[in-house]
Amino acid sequence: MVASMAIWFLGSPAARRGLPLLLLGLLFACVPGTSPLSPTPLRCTSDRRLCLAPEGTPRIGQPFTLTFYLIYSNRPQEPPVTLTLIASSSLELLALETQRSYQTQSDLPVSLVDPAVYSIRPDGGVFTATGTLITVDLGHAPAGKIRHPLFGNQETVGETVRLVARVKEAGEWQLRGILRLPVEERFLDGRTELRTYTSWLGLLGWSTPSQAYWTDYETARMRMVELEGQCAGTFHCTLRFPYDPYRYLIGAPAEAPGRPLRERPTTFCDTFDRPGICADYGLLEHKDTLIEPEEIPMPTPSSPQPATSSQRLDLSGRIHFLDPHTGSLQPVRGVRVELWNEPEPQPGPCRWLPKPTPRPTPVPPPTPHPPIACIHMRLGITYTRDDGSYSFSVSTASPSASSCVFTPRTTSA
Amino acid sequence: MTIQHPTRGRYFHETEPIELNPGTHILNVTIQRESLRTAFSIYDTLTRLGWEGLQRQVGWSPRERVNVYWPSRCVVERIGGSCYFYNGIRLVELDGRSPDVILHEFGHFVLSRFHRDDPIISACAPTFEHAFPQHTSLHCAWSEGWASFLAAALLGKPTYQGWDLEDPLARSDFPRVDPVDPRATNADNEWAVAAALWDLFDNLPEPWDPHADGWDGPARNGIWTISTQRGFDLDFGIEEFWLKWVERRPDRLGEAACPMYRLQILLAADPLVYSVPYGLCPPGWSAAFFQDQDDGRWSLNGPITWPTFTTLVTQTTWSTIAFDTHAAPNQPVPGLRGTFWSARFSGWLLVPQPGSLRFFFDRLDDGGRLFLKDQKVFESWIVHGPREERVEQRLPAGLIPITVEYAQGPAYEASLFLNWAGPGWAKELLGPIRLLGAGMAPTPTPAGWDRISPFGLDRRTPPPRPTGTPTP
Repeated sequence: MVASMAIWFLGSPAARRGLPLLLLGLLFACVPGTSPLSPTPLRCTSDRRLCLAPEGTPRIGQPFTLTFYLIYSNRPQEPPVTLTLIASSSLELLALETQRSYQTQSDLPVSLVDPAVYSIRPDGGVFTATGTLITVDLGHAPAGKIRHPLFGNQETVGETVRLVARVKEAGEWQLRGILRLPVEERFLDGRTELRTYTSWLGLLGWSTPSQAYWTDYETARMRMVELEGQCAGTFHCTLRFPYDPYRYLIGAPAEAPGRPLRERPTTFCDTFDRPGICADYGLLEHKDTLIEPEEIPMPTPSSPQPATSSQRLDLSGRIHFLDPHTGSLQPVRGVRVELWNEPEPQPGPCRWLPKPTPRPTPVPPPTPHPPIACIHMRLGITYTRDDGSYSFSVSTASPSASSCVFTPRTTSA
Repeated sequence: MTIQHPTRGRYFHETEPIELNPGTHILNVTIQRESLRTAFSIYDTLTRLGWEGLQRQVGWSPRERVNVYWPSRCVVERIGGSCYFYNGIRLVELDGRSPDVILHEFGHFVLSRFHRDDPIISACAPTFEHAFPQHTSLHCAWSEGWASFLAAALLGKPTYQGWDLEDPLARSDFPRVDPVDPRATNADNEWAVAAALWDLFDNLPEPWDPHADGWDGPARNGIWTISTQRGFDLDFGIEEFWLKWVERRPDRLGEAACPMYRLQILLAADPLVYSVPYGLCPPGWSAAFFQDQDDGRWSLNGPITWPTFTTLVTQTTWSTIAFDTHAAPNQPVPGLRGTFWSARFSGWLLVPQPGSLRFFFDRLDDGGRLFLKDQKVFESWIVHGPREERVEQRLPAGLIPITVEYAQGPAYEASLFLNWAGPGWAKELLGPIRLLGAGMAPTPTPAGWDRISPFGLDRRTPPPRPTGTPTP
């Protein structure tokens, strides 16, 4: 709610007049803080199938224990449930306590995650590094009962796997637990489909001889999301981390020594999925196109009108998205599509019109464009149909001078 | 509905600027960017499977707006995860690609339209810790179990995040003591709730359905008991939602409605009086009438020789089978000639307790058959005048599919009065559900049933009874 209100406010013409002040405020808002994260004793996946409780402090050379609490079951005819443990090479795995059979593979490329980079693929990380892979065959149901901390240590059907590890060297380490549950799903329409439900947790750490800093992937990722939000919305600035993003996001201080598992780019803004060039730390890039269309002044009888006679522009097409769940192309349905006459408020001959400056302005030079082309204006709005199709039919005064931008919004009617 | 980044605002996709000249242009767009793909997938799941799925299946969907925040999470103490919170669905990053979780949170939103937000949001308070196979509390189990069931139903599969709702471990016979944890019953277990709801919803009449539904009296009225717990007052109409939903399924005509109909009676009954519902589940007898042709080979008191059930004339619903055309008009429904016609009546019989039941084919003229659980238990397929026939059957308690076939031959005189008698009630027309021991009939149908109204006044109302009462 706060975010959308901010967009509304900053998008209004009145807000634009106060732009410099707001930009100054956002300059500070874009500087991330440095409060450390405090680890909590239990982490669980959203489906609660997999929980992880660390014990001890993972300082260099000091063994610590990770207890995985598992609640699962599937049918005997389905493939067995597995628990995969992935450890970076900076961790030494000392012992695995389980009644189940397991396989260990060392010194091989493993998938690790980076909380500063968007990735929701459950089976893969965003980068590969050398590490250890352990696959535990859990069968189809837990063998017995466990006392589960999630339920007040009450006895429940489940299983635990305990891993004892030790950090070998100063710097970054990661440990991931991935529970895979293959299920043959029978749909009401008669289809059957073997689907694997994957629950995973990642423990991200940075250890020194005297200190250890660690948190889980989801917590670090949410911290990243919150930071991203400070430099987004109506005004885009590029978030610059005061130091290594990984250490920052897991709460390790700048001075914590050690080696990262991957070389992270110093120009970090390349990984942000927003337009704009990289700016220095805290420097704002002006971008005010993300405004609520309802707040944009539309042409009125008193607005400048095109000097030329109108001509017709018909635009149609379809919008699809690549479904991350099925991997297939799906039509974007019921989504708002907007047609604008100007791509972005770039510096140009018409820039002065929507953004008056406080100092005296010389009389603008004659422009070859008719005035309507100089107004940042939405030409049309429609909603995609069930097959993702849309169409516009608009009259434009000087189409050759217009650039058009489509903005499909995830906003229903 | 809007999908929002928790701090960055709405998700949107902008194309590269293009120059457009007057005329016709085609611009097809494929959204590739991973974060946008997930946002659009969430939107698509909620609109196509959520809102539109309910519209298709129930003819109703929430009218209120819901905001979806992704990636986001609800954190209560040490446990974080996706949640529904006051018209907002918050999805952790990994759940953004899980239709099960997206629709589970939508299920909370739907249920909150009936129970209001507070009971749903605080259902698992104070710890908010719960897991599918765990015992929590009645409120938590109902809220979470319902949400998981709705997700499964909208996805058309009896699983939630891989948990099998048909698994005997789910203990969907309701309520019963948990064999694993004798201190608890499955009433505080969300897996059991989801499984019980699924069993009532699916198209398989299973032995434990009556248990899930709670057939044995007000004190043990199954899954619906816990929906009446604190904060989950049935006054808000969730049972109407349910009834409407299952009644719209062509494969469940009448049968699925019975549970809620019985509940309605149970709720209306004096809880101190032990009374048991019995009779024909709504909407009653599904009746199909056929026009047949004389083959000229029959003889009086001889077998029916002509082909029956040949040309369908009309279908309707009757509350009882009771007609006599010895007086005008000579046909039981318009469109039939008075001679050489046949009819098939199907329904679901609610048998209140195990025992011997007698079915009376009174004034049978001409042929009659009775099928119980698809087994033919009686046949008198003979050309004759009115006569009395009867058959006795020992039946278990619960829902029994019942079919009566009737054939009329030469002459216009046709009649049949189907009566029954059982342990506890004397011979009477086999008709709508009544309350054994209380002499109570169901409430009449109000005209406004078709409007599901969360928080509204149209509550505890049965569905419309199709008209088509035969002329005796």
